[in-house]
Amino acid sequence: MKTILRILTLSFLLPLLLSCNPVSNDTDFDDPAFLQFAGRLTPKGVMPGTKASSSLLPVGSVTSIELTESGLYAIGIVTDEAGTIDYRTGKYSVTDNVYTLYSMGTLAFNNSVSGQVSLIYTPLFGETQQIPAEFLKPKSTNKAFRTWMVEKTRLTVRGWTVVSADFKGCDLAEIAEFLRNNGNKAPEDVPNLSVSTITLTGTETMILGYSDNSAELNEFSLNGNVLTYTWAERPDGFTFISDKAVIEYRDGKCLLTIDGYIRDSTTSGSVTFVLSPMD
Amino acid sequence: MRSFLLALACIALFPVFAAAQHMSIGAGYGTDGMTVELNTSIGQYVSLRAGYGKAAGIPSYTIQHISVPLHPGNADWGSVEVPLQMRLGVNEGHLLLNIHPGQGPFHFTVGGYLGNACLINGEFSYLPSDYDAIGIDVDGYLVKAKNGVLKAAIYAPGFGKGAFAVKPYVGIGFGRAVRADRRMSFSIDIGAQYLGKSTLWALGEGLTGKTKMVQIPSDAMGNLTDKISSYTRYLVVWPTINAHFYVRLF
Repeated sequence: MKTILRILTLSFLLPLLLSCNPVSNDTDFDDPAFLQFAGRLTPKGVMPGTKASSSLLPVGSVTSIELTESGLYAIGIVTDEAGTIDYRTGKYSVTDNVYTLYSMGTLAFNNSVSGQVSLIYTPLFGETQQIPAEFLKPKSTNKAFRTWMVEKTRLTVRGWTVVSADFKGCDLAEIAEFLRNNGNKAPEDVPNLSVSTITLTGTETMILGYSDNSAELNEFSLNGNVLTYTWAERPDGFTFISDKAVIEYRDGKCLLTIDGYIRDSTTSGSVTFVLSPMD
Repeated sequence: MRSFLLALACIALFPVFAAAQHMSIGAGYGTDGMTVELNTSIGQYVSLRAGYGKAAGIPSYTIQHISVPLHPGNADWGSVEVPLQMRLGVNEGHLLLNIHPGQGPFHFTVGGYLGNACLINGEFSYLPSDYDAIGIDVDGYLVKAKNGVLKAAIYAPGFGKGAFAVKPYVGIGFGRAVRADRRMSFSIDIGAQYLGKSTLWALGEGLTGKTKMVQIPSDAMGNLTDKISSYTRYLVVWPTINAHFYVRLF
């Protein structure tokens, strides 16, 4: 009896030890589903994203096609004689060497190695084109290199007040309203769009995918957890003057934080995108 | 550090309790919350107490006119008075040594309280609607109200740090928990815990949705932190009065 009571007594102390829960951060992700099919196609003679070269191309020409590790494509098409390029995004699937770009058409080329390829592009509505192109497979792999869904955005504004707010997704109009309501400058003509995906590819392209399937492409390099990128000038005025972002992983999410300030404003702040893998 | 201290305390206690000739289990109530504890005698002059206490059943108190900034994060844009409801929030273990100088019931007590540093839980209510929309980012945790209510707390760490308290205790008492000739006994204690510098904490939501209490920087809430400090600066010690009822196990 006494022994049982002693054991019970000792077990009384165990909850103290059990209260020492280790902190766990789940930061592992499965490989993206289209890792082996990913790469960048650049039709011959075209430098993607540059107006100088694209202005020489006829309207409707394809300037570049990013095929991401997560099965998302971003295709650049010349939309006017001045050489404006619009990027459209969507999902793709692959059967052997044939890529089906949903809402866009099909691509057929030898995707086994980087180098010159003969690209057969069949748009959804239009003639099949055979285009000599350069195919560049991903230079490296990294768990950041995939398509991420924007779950939440935390914005901290350091203007005449220091305040923070969370937004579901990343609705640009909602964020502009938040800035205005807190006495900060924000453009009036912000489009009714959300940033729905952020993709980092192994070919060092960052793709911001919007809710209307348009996209914005920038180059980046990743050193440790610091992302250095070129941020395209945005017509809606939401230009964060910063060329660096920090990547962290926490609780199965990727956190991408950009510190900077808004052009033509004294407001500085930080934006943290809470991202979850698309695939 | 917290894990180390708790593990050390447990390791130190195991042989003491395992070798005990007599031991009582007790339940108590007082300003250190509702407690359960084990008490074992070590010779005729000393007994060791190890237990756990949690605040329960103590009525709350409301300060009606706490001034908070009208706009979160900005102290210069006017203020508004809101009520703050407070209640005891202790949730901690204790390790105490009773010293009976005359082998009788009178005893001195020394030891400490270890665990969560929360002393007082509070709720600001009727906060302006801005507090629901925006807040303060503290180390990645967003502190803001929900439906006009903001959960906050006064943390008193003693010699501990952050949310982990190590609060030394001294006191006197009357009664012996372990008596070989009686199955049941009663004891009362009066003393004080050293609280250290009390600080204001509030519930924050992390980027990934996890919530935890975070310490509010002194400059983040304008006059509010000064107001809270005007109350908490007198909270250097916590008067501890409790009564225990024991049953001898063996």
